[in-house]
Amino acid sequence: MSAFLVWVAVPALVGLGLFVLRRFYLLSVSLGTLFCAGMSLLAWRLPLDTDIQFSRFTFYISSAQDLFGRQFVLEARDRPILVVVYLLACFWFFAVYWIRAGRMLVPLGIVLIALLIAALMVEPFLYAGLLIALAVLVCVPILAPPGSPVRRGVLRFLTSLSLGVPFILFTGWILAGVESRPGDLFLIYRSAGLLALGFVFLLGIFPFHTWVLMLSEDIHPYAAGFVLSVLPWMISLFGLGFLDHYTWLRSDYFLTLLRWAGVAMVAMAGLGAAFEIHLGRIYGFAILTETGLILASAGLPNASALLFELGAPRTVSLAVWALALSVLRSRSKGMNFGSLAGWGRAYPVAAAALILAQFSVAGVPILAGFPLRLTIWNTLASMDIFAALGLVLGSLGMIASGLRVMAVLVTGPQDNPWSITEPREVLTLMALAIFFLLFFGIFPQVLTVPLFNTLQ
Amino acid sequence: MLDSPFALPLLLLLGLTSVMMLLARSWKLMVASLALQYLAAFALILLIWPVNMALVKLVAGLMACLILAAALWNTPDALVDEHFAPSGRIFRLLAAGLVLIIIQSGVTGLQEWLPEVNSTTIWASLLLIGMGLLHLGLTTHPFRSVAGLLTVYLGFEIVYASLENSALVAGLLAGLTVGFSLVGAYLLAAPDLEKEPE
Repeated sequence: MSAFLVWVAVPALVGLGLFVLRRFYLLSVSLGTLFCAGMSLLAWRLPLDTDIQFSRFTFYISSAQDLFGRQFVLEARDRPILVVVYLLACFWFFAVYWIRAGRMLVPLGIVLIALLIAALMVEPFLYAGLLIALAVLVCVPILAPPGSPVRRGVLRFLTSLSLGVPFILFTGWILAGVESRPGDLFLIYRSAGLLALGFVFLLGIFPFHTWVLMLSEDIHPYAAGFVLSVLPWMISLFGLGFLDHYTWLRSDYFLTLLRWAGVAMVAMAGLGAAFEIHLGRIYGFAILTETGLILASAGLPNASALLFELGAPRTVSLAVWALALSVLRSRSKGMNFGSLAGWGRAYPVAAAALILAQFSVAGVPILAGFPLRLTIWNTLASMDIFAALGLVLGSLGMIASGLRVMAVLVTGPQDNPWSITEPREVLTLMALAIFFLLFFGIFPQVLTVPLFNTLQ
Repeated sequence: MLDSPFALPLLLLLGLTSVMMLLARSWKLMVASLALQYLAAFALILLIWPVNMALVKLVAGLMACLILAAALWNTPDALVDEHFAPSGRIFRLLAAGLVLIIIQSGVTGLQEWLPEVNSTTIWASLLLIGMGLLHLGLTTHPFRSVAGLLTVYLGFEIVYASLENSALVAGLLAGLTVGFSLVGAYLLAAPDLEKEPE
């Protein structure tokens, strides 16, 4: 057996199997969630390239697998990523049934994760671009479920991410030239420019970010949240591979550029959120903020650890936010401030979860997003105080937006009495979500220390 | 300037089919143009790759055309919303001319970047990428978007074939071509499919 078989081929097959079983909604969601938890456990405990004795049987899982003349290698440093990715998928899938996020999400979500893991494993790693393009195709049915009109955001998503892949592949070819002619500055700048363009498309960086807002406005928030949370994070981990492989990309010039691109994105997204009146689009701005934070972190000295650790709090915040949005969306006629005025009185727990998740993305203390943001702000401030102020500006914008949302949700046209009307199972999920947001904010070491240890 | 006796007819065919896709109202004409595009690209790639590898691109491309044709056959009104006035056609034709001028100015630069790629390949590649991007920029229709993406990717594949001849890459690119058409077929059918019970 090989690691490729265990963490890519088997999950892809299980995903396809669950796709067939999707009519049995609860069963497919439960099996998918349990499967992801199991995969995470396996990634944590199963040793590679060593004989494993199980009862009378002996297994051997090799870290490398040859396929069509190329190799899929699970390196030791990638294993923590596997643990976290499957755990986060489990976290996302847990609530799918209760909030009716679509029958495609869990089966195709597992296939999506299998493809993204294959992208991290393929050697030479530049071929990952093609696997990412396949992963993008898998996302389409999640975002455009059967029986609903195809939204423009879905087409923009497909177009934008697909256009990024040729740049990555082309860069790969140029980088081979850079390796043979390391002093050729023209070649270096050319490849860096193409690489940047590729990631601008793949991560939805300004000015190619409109699809993020369109998706979050039109699509079920939970489905959009899952895709927009998993895909950029995994793509940024792939991008980190470039920084690891090509030392010239770690020059001060490129890292400063990367940091400032991230800071500009956080600041603009924060300000955009402050003036936005559509709850879905505010969520889109939050996703752009998170992408900006990823870019800013990638330009810092301890980028690998930061990017890896960012995965968990951002997932908790975005998932809780998507959960709360889904509850409100399923009951209201629209997601504009006008349609949702006073809804916090009827759905106080969902409203509280939504506002807390937004404050968590903004980096408000005692919430899940705060501890790592504090680390990023500190590190950035020691290098460039203006860049750190840019991040703070983005956070202030997000806080202002959160305060506006809170005001809209609690002040309605009529003075409706406060009452908890959420269904019991949704209420339990929301309470659990709020607990997670506060728990990981107050005790960040519960999340970051095991992650850091796994990374070590 | 062009380095093969077949180069000019092939380039003309690619240019004609890509403009036809831009202007056509009938899906049958569009799918036929796309299929011809794959045929011309196959002939160009034959100048670089062995037949068995080049055939992968042709087979994948024709499969993609068939999948899209089958989907459009079942949704004959798919392009109804996309009908545009004659002035729209003139605009598209002028835009295609503009793209051609941009390509003309870009060919020399790209040739300096990629001295190992012949000029025919660069012309064909830029032509398809330019027309594909124009198509993508002018539409919000699923079928036209997918057709535009397929055109852009075909253009990229033509130039990339000169740089990379790995079987895995060829296979994955073929998989992507079929994948795009499957997604296109799904997007065409999705609104009419039975909504899955919640």
